[in-house]
Amino acid sequence: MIALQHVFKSYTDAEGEPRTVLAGADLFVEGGELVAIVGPSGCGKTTLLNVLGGLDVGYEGEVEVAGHKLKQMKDAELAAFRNHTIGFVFQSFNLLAPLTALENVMLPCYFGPSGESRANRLERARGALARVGLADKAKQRPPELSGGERQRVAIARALFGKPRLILCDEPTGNLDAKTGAEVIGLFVDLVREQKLTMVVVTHEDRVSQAARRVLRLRDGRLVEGLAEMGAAS
Amino acid sequence: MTPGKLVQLVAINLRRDKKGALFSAFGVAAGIGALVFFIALGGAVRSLVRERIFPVDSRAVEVIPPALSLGSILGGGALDEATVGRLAALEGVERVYRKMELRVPAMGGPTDGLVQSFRIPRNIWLAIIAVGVEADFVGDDLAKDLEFVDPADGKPIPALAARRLLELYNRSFAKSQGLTPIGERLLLTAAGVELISVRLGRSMKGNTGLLEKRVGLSFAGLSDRAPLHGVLIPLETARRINREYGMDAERYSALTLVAKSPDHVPALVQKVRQMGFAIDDSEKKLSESVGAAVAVTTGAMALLSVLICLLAAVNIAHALSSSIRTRSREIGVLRAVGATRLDISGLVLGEALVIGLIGGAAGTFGAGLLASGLDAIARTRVPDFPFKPESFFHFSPGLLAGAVALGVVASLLGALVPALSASRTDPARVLAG
Repeated sequence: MIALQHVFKSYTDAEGEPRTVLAGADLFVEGGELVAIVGPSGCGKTTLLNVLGGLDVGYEGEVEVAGHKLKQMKDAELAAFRNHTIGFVFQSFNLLAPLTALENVMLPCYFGPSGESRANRLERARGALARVGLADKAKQRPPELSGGERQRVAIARALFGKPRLILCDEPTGNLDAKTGAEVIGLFVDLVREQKLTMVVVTHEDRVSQAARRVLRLRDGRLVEGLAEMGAAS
Repeated sequence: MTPGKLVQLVAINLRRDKKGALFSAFGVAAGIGALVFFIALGGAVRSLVRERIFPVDSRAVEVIPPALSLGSILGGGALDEATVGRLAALEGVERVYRKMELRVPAMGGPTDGLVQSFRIPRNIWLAIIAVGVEADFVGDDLAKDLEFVDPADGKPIPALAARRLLELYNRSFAKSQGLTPIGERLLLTAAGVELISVRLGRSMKGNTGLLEKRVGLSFAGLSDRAPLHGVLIPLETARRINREYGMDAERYSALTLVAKSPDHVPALVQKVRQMGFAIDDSEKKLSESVGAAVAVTTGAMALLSVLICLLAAVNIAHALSSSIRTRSREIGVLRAVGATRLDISGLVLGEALVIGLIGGAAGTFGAGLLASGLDAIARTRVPDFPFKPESFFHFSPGLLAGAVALGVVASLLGALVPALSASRTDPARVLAG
């Protein structure tokens, strides 16, 4: 599903100093895996996720996701790739406040192919909301929902396009322990039921404990980190 | 993204910030409204000047004998049949019309019919200035079922008066003298009726020593081609009376050249002058001067309005830039779920297009409303004056469509930079955290 080979990524920080966050990173993920990537804040986890999702193309190296070589794709192709193949879940939910939960879930369909009928799209969006336990909140707007509910709407939005890969950036970072645990449980169920591939960037132990593989981003490279995480916990 | 989906997203964004959108649209409306108002006002005033106050045919060249020249003393520079032939042969000339003044002094006063029908005082006597012209020259101005030919001696002569004269009489003279105004339609009911009694051979000083003879003028219509101070009569009538009184009945007092197109006029004027004749362009120059003054004033106002539109565009640029900064994370989300850079630009430009459409349409409508209000005030509160128009504004379909289009263009211009900036939003940066 994911083949990331020898990827380098640098940027200039706020002080104007060049900073390398990915220094020859390699990552190979099979389909249907839940992989956690851990590491301290600022180590480059989010950058790695952006590279995998085609949001950041200013890197060196090779990235292949679901058979797509991202480096060779144009803006429109990358956009279509994100629309069809990837689902994003962010720490701060990133829902559009003026839209209802249902409309937020349907957001990707504005940019997808136009062949599907509105009735079908509505049915799929309602199905995605039902899957995350929010069938009765379809008409609520984000400010009217709790943090956990917002994150579940974001997950339903990520599921709406029937993606093969879901990329989650600190998905439980803004949730309390109980709600965070529910979200993690949902991830595990989704991977098991829908054979989804999920890469979760986190610095929280409870997320990594649910993952089949845990990788640690250290000095710009990914290393197997299960033992260390286990030791830490 | 399909246009339908773009419209839906644009509608969502505009609904979210109605106040901002309305404020931006108001700026466009102010500029477009002012532009439409001044152009409509200028257009109406220019038409009034060119069509009613100084009606000028842009293809016509009025040729008159030179004021003084060696040629004229020796008999040259005369406007005779030979000259008509030479002028008709000039390149670009479509037609030459002959004009011959009645060279016999004449005084005119109202007939009993005129006194009774239109309550004109009986004791008004004025010097009559009559110009003989060909029937084609008066054209459609001749009242229905009448003929513009020389009548037999003693019968009333058909005469056309200046439409402007009626306007001045009604709006100024009749009012100041407490007389009843005469409507054009009412006047036309008197077509063919003898309204003026003329005493040939008599001047304002009294007896001229010439044979005094009474003849009637029958009303034959109103024409913009008639001199303000006189009437048009058949050419052959003028020739006959001039001959009868021993005056010059061969040479014309003026010739009107009609060019094939207005573009031919400057060259024709030059050739006519080279032939030793003069051009009477006093009315044309006056019309052009007034027209130019109106055009300059309208242009200055229009320029001011365009500046307001530009300010509106700057305001839209500022508002959209600020909105895009606030919505950068949202733009990042749209990019993450599949929006291309073009989709994002389209979204911003779509918002601007709607703002421009609303502003342009509202401004145009507002200008129309203001013009209607001012016209209503002018009709009811402003006293009548000569050439007072029914409306002081002329809204052509082209002006209305162009104004709305300009509103859209100004708005889109203002949105260009914000649209470009939005499309360049780096989703990885704005979605972090």
